[in-house]
Amino acid sequence: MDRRQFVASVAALPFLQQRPRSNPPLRVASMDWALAETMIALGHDPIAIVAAADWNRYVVEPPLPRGVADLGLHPEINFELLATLAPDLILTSPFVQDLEPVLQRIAPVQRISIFEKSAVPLAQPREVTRVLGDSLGRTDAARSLLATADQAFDGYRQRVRALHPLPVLLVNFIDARHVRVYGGAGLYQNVLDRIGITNAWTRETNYWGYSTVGIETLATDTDLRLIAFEPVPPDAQSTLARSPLWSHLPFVRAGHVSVLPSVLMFGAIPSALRFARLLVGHLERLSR
Amino acid sequence: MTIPKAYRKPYILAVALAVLALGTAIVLVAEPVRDLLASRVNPEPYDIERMVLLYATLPRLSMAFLAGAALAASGAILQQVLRNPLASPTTLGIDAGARLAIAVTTLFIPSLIGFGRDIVALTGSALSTLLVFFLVRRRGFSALAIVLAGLVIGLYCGAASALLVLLKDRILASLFIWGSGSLSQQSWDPFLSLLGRLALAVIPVLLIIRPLSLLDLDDDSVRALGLPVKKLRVAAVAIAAALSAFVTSAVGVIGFIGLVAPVIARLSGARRFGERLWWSTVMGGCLLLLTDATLQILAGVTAEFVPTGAVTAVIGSPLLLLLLPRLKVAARPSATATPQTAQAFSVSTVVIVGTLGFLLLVGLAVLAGRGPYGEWQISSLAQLDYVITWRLPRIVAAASAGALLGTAGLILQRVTGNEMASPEVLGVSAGAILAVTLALFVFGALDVFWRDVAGMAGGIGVLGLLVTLGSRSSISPEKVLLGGVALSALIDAVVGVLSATGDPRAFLLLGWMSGTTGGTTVAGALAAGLAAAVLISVSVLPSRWLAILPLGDSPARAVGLSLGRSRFLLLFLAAVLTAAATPIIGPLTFVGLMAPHIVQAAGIRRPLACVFGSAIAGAGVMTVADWVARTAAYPVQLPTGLVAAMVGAPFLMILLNRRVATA
Amino acid sequence: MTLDDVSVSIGETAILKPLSLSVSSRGVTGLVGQNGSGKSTLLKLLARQQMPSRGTITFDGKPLHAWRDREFARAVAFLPQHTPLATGLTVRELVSLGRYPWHGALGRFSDADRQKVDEAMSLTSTAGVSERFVDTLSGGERQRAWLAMLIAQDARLLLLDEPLSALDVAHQLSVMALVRRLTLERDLAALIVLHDINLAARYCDEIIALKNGALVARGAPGDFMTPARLEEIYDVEMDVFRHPEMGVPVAYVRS
Repeated sequence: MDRRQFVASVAALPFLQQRPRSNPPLRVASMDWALAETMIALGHDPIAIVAAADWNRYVVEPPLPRGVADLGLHPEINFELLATLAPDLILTSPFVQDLEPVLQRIAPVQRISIFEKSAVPLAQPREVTRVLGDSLGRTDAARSLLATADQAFDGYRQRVRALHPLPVLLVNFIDARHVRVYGGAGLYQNVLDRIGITNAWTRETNYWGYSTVGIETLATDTDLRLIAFEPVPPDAQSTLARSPLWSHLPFVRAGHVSVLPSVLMFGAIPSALRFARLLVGHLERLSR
Repeated sequence: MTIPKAYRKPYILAVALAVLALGTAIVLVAEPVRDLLASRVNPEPYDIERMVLLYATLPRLSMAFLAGAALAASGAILQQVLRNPLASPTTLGIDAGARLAIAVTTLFIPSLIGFGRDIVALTGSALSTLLVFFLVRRRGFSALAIVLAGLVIGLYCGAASALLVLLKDRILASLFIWGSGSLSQQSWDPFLSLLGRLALAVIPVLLIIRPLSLLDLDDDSVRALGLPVKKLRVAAVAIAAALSAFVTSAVGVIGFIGLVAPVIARLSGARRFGERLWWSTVMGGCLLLLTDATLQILAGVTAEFVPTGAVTAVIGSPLLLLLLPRLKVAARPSATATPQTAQAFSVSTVVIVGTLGFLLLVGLAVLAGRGPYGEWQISSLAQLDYVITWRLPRIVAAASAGALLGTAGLILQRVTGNEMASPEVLGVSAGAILAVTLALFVFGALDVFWRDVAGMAGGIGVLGLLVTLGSRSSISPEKVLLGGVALSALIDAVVGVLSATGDPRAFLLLGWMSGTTGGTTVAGALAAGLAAAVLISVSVLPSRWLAILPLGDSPARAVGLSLGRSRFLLLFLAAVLTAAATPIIGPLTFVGLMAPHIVQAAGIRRPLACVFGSAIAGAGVMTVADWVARTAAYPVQLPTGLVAAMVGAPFLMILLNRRVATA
Repeated sequence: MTLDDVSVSIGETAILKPLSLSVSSRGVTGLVGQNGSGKSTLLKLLARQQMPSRGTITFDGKPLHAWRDREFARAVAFLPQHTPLATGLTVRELVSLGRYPWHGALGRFSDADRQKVDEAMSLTSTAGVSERFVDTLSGGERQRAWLAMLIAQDARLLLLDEPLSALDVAHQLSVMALVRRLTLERDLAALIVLHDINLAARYCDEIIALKNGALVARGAPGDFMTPARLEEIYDVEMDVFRHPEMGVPVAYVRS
């Protein structure tokens, strides 16, 4: 959000409060992007979130509504500003629980875990949606969001079945020598499972569902499709081009390397939908 | 250093190390090589195992040996030219300069990274080294001044990149890996280019061996032998910096090899500089090869990514602790600047003027701020409630912590006679962080209460260690500090490993370490203020010891001061002061280092006046830092602890840059 | 001060061979000998700067280790051979440190203390540089400033390790005269390590000579200054004549 939008929104605050309404919506501040994106998807915009300045770079969708205040960054959010905004409820996640004692001085705090391992794909993002719907008095909106999402995922699953895609290897290039590779219990893996795509990375990951490895660890003689999320460091391509190990890899020789826009790794249903849409759309474009 | 027994020969250890390193490397590559030979008979068009062996494993092992050897050579040269057994490439801020350069480029001009990450790193190292030279040019390039300047620049660059990482962690994830030195390779290119660069340095190194050997004598004698000491020192430091910067630019920061290899070479009997350089180089190469090969074998067992540089630090720090008793630390003459006029400010002047100035500062910091639109404003009486709830407590807490650390720093610098001594390196903060880290990873996420309990327990644990050390014999304060340095490096490494794996909990830890004050309650602020008042009052009591101890052991004992007891009590006091401040502001402020220097620059010298002066100076720096942290990047709040390092380090640089009359 | 079978060794090297000796509690005693003869070690033992490997040393009938630190410093003062630069201290501040054994860490710096400091500075003619920094002084001035600190300590026994090394002839004489005057006026004792045998002969009441860590001779200067004794101590052929004006013995190196 730029400054002008913010000024406009704060200037409008008293006006909003005065507007006669039977049940004014809760003014909610979110300390977590996954919770914020779910709120927006439920049609209940937060009044303030952390790291709003970086939203368009990493979350992208849904777009951040105008007038959401930027609280700065964890580890030290702007308590002065938050206190001035006087929210009715503050949402936190276990990642930021160290802020809670202070936040409780400003408004009631609700902690919602966005990341839990589960056997059913996307169980936790669904749970987050339901819990948030109940807390915000938007139980119906939550129910319909989940129904829409299910419908969308089922659609993607059918389109994937028609594509017969190669297994995918999802990575982030950290520098020219290392990647972060995703699997395990992460959101991406959950989406892959839900829409029926095989992950080529079957080795262990950390608790959060990813693993940092040297690029030589990706060496394999089976064919697959490497999908790198943006941003790709500027020196990665040129350096790798000079590596015999890399250029002889079957999937590199076959040209099975793609780049996708960034998707929030610790996201909820909106990010999952975004990932599925980007991935399936990309695979379809390739098969044409 | 103990005098080596005549029969001790360096090559025995070197050969043993080489056999061990090669053995491990052979274990690592045996199977692929056998398969490779077998496949000669029946070649396949594309064999993934062969590709990995030829373009990943072998270049990586070669890189390990080459990097280790170059870093060790660099360390050996630096230890000789700076006459300090603890000098190492890291001491000079070479790594920190490169790190900051990469961070800044990645964030602001990413296209430059496309030209080559190594070029950016090299430029950063070169700039920081030049800055070191620039700062010490008026001090005759003295060894001590170089160490000091290197430390300060390392500190500044380190704090700056830590701040950038906290603000932009997602973009700068690469910095974690770079900072913990991963040797992972995918082609021979980096190895060959490093080899080429290092080859350029071979002839200069050979040329300075003989002149450097003369540096076993003191500067005056060397000059009398017709050697231009200044030029030699600049040349040697530049060559050593180049060696280490080449390695750093290729693989990132690999700590401790440059420090430990020359120490081991010395202990194994390499007496003369030429011998030391040669055997350090060999042993350094073998050490890193051994570490990396072992790590690769173990890596098959665990799924976690562990960079080699972090491991060398984890192994190297305890090794340094073990070697400490054998290290003879020469008592160095204190090299603090002597004011030319005797401005004997009385204690009451210092207290009155200082307190008034400080209160003015606090008043400004409390009232001046930025409103919800980011606009600058002076708080009015109407906002009093809000100011008392949110601003005053954090300022009081930060200032109290600053006062505690400033006092601790003064005590430590007086006791050790070392102007680089500071509470941050005493090991108390390091103990606290280690305990919090362990608790965080053993019990998962921690709530604030248990985090503080763990931190206190860690600090008290180190205190206990100090007590045991102290009761055994009269403690050498330098060794206590060196132990603290080793412990702090260990913490850095552990945090580095955690961060490199990308675990979100590492970020929690970094946040805590960076020193946040925003959420301080009124009660918390009162407690901090009370602790500062009580502990600083206690610190006034031994101020006479602080005057006598810098005179040296002999005169101190002659006037009836019990060295063991007085030093122990003072170190203990400093540790308690530090332990009280760390939970408030984190371990990274370096206010304890800066406050005594500020006091000295102000011309205050009497011990009692210095105690009050350092407390006030520490409080003042923290107040300014807290204000900057609150307002500079609004609405983003910066961590006060890191900002304090950023505010103070340039000040120290200016002090260093002043012309100093050498006695 | 009495030594009973005291010895010092590092590893297997004996620095000081078993020695029994009693140091006079009044007058000036000179301690002479070649380099490495153990003079400084003996002085450090007496000053409690170093512990003997074996044997006991008693002062006032009480073993040295039984003395409390400040109590001992009030009785025995010690000037090390190499004095540190004392960066950032003025002469007055340095001399004031000599009062530490009397007021301790927390006691008040009284008028009596201040008076002792002034007295010590005027005795050593350092009053004129009292506000200057010690590390900006010349070698001789610095040596006298340290001596002033020692005097301010107001001890009964002064142990001085080569106090004349940085001084010119005039200041050497004045320091020795000062020490002698102090011992007479205040009933003190002083034990001084000296290299100049003639100065020792002129100002000392007694001379003790060490060689290779053992006592080789002790006695009044008159008995001491014989060619045979001196050659035994220094391994150099020496001869002695009478000072033409003062009559004290003067040694010189033959050929």
